[in-house]
Amino acid sequence: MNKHTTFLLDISRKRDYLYLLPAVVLVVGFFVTSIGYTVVLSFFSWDGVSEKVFIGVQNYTDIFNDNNFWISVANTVYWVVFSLLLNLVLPLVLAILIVQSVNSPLFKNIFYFPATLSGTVGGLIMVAMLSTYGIPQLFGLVGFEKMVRDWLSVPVVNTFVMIFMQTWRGIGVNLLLFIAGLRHLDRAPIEAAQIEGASRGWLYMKVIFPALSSTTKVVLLMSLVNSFKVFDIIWIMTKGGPYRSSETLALSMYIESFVRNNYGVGASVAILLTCIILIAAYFNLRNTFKSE
Amino acid sequence: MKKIMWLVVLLSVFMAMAVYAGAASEVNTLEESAKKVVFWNDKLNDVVQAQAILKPWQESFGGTIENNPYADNAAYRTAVSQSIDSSSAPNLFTWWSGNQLESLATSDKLMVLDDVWEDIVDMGVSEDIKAALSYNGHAYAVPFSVLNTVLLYNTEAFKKAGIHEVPSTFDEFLVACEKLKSVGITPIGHRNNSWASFVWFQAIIAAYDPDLYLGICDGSVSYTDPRMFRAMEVWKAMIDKGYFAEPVLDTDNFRRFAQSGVGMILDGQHQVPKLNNDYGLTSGEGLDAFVLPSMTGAKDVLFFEVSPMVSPKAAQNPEETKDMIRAFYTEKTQAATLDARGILLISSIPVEDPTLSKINAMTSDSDSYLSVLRFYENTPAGLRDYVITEMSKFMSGVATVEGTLNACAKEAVKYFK
Repeated sequence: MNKHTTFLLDISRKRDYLYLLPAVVLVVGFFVTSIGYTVVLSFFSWDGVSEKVFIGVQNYTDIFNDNNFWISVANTVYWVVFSLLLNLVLPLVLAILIVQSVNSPLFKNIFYFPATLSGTVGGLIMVAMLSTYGIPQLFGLVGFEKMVRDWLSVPVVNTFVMIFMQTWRGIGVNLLLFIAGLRHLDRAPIEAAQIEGASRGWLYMKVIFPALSSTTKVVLLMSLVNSFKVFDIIWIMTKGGPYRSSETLALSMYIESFVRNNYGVGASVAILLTCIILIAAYFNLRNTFKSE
Repeated sequence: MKKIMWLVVLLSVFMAMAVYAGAASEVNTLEESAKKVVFWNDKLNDVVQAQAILKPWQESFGGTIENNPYADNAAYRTAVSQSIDSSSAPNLFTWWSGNQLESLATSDKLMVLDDVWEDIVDMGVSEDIKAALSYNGHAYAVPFSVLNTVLLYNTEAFKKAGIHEVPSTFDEFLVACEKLKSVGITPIGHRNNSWASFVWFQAIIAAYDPDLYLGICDGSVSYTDPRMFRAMEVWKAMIDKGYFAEPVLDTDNFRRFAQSGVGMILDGQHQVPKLNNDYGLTSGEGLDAFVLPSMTGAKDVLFFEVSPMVSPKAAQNPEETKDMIRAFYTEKTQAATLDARGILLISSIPVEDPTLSKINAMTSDSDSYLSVLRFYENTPAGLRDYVITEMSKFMSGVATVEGTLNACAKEAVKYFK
């Protein structure tokens, strides 16, 4: 390799790095520094106006001693478990039915439509529908007077109503992914299994679902992260109430930082939430990369 | 390589233009600011209401007031805290009284408004309000609104229950609740905002003993004081007897009230125009007000909240800002705030709405009523948030009197060492 060639390669490498530079600057400027700042802030007491006061790990110990934090953790677990189940099973079942239906574009659009709504708009629609002058009135008409109440004020029930709402909105994207996955499956093993006389259940369990595993992993990871960071729907529908009973970690983080002006506590919750998501996502990502 | 060079040149030109545009916009703002002031708030989100108030305010001011309302409190707080020290700070913005105002004032971030207060007192603003907005001998804020919490009642519901006079003692109040309940009307409406639980908490404690209320606010009385247990037992009995409706959305609460589904709501006088205009009630005919009577025969306690307006030290054109503040208290502007929000800050304008007129009369009747700053601004913010959550649990029946007060007392120790 002569000097001229080495020089050209060197220039070419530098140019490659130059292409990366804008993205690196943006990520470092807006993402990495924010994470660093949040970590630092979590060791301070700060109301956003006065001087910051270094308090070590006091914010973390306060959080762990706060019952409301553990309620938030429990609610986050509800959200993750039930969102994962619903956002995986329902779109998969619907995708299988839609792929086999004669009018699949129509059904696809019907189920995808809620995904075009923002969480805020969807939440407002649901709040109006669930007001005591809305859907609960129907219970009264059929004789269940006691059920004419504001269901969003009933702890735990409100969390499941909101999970349903999130599923209604989120089902469309997962549905499209599963439909795309099903349509691009290798037909050979399916046909071979059919020729061998495989039952429909066996075909799905042993051939189709395993072949769909890469799509399933993407859906799982997306649903996992979305369920951890769910915020807008809860904020619009209950604001975490009544008595902080429907707060999740993401909401606690927001309320502590921007409603109660406890920026240090909010930052600590953010760090804990990030750690939990990273741990949960790690196993999923590791398996994904291993298989690829 | 040439392409990259071109790209770099284009990018540089684009950035230079952007910098120039930014600088030009700064210049324009500076030029215009001589006749324009910027007002940030979390109050004037209703466009019609905002227009009704801003038009006469601008006319009185003789310049432009740029209204920048925020619908979300958290976003509003963040915007204020990020801009308060910069040259882009608004000339005037609304804030919260109590600890939150104190935090800004003692951080030396606000303009002192002592000279403005001299003028607006002459214009008819009560000097009593100044104390709630002053720290270390200086006034740092002026009132945007002063709201009083009263029991608004549906006169038709009261008539239906055979209640012909408003209760003047607490026992009469309980009798009225029982009568309402006996004709199928839930006595007291309740909204599902968790933070609103303090409204009934403060009312009950102060009705039991105003000094007890003031004592728990400033930490001189413990939440586990025996009087607190007795007062809370009264409240518990009211809840157990079904005097409180299940919590519902604000709009549903108003609708139920207007339709005689509930007999009373404990709320501010700013709801009176809304109940008249949006829910079909008529002040003096279908809608009226009274104050929750004392349990001991002491003066009835009238809770008030002050929404202050403050001006950051960093804001430009302080003299223009002061003129803008004075313009807010002219009869013209105040007449508009009275019509739009049911709030009046000067004494020289007659109030035609009979319910609002009655509430206004109560505020100036110091022989019968004791005006006290409401709990939300009267106790440290962290403790307040904790107590509100606990009281919300209590109202929902998931916490006992003992558990609630013990938890609050434990938390209060952190704030009143």
